[in-house]
Amino acid sequence: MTPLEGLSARELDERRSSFQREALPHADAVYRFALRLAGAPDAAEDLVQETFLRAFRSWEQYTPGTRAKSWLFTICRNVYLRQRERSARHDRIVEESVAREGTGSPGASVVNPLWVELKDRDPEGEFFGAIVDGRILEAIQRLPEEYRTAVLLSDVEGLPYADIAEAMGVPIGTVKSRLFRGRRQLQRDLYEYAVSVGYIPGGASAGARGASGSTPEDA
Amino acid sequence: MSGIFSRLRAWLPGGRDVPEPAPGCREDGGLSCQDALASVYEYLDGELDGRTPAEIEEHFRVCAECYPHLSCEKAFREALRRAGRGERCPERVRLRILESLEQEP
Repeated sequence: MTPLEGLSARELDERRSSFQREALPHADAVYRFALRLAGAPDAAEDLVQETFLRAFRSWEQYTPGTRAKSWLFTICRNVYLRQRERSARHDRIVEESVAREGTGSPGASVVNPLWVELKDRDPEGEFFGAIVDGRILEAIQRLPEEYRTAVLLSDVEGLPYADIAEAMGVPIGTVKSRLFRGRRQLQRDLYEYAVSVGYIPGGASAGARGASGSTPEDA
Repeated sequence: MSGIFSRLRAWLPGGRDVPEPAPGCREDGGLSCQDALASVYEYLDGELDGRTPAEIEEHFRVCAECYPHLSCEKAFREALRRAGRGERCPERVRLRILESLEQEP
């Protein structure tokens, strides 16, 4: 495929048609990913538009029949990261914590500490279903971007590890590590919220909160 | 007698502190709890190959200790997926994209 400038009017039309057929159907997925990256609807809308424009301009680099959705996520994230750098609002704490991560599988215990706490009170984690979407999205937003993106691309968008690795420019081992840490952090966040609003009866955390006099968040 | 009671206790909440191997776990020649739990994320992500997914499914099916953990992880993922897929791209954004395509190059 040739860059856009070299195309005849008819070729350009065909290029637009194939782009609309293959790339545009992913607008919902790209939008919600952009929303989680940018954190606000206005910024997300600009990010989505920029993503599709760049995608169209480099459509000749896309291999037909491969996963257009993954490719779009890659572009979206790269655009977002470049914008973030330009606005010079690095989160140095996050950078440092991510720099400490290894590329191998996490050495932490295979037994999720959450399971131990839930064993008697809600072993199948039914409280997750009771938490409103907004609160879950809040918890996702609190994750460092590297964990957030990994969890979103895997658990919300269903991308395979290989595609996530390519989208994030890291080895698959790093993807697994980020997924592991991101999920555990989310689970801890949502568990503590559930205890504080009484979705989970009792619990050491609730006892400690009671003793310190703090009140549960509004549900 | 004690064997029956210990198996009964396995099904009651808070019935034991130490995981006991259930039928299908290593002592019976199947996968151990440790192995199954170590693979739980890869299993749920569909990233395991070969015979392993079937072995892990079987372990979680028969092991009273491990089954709740799998359910818990599934409930968590379901909640994430439900929460994360709610938004749709606003129509005006789609229109703006189409307009910008028309203006290229």
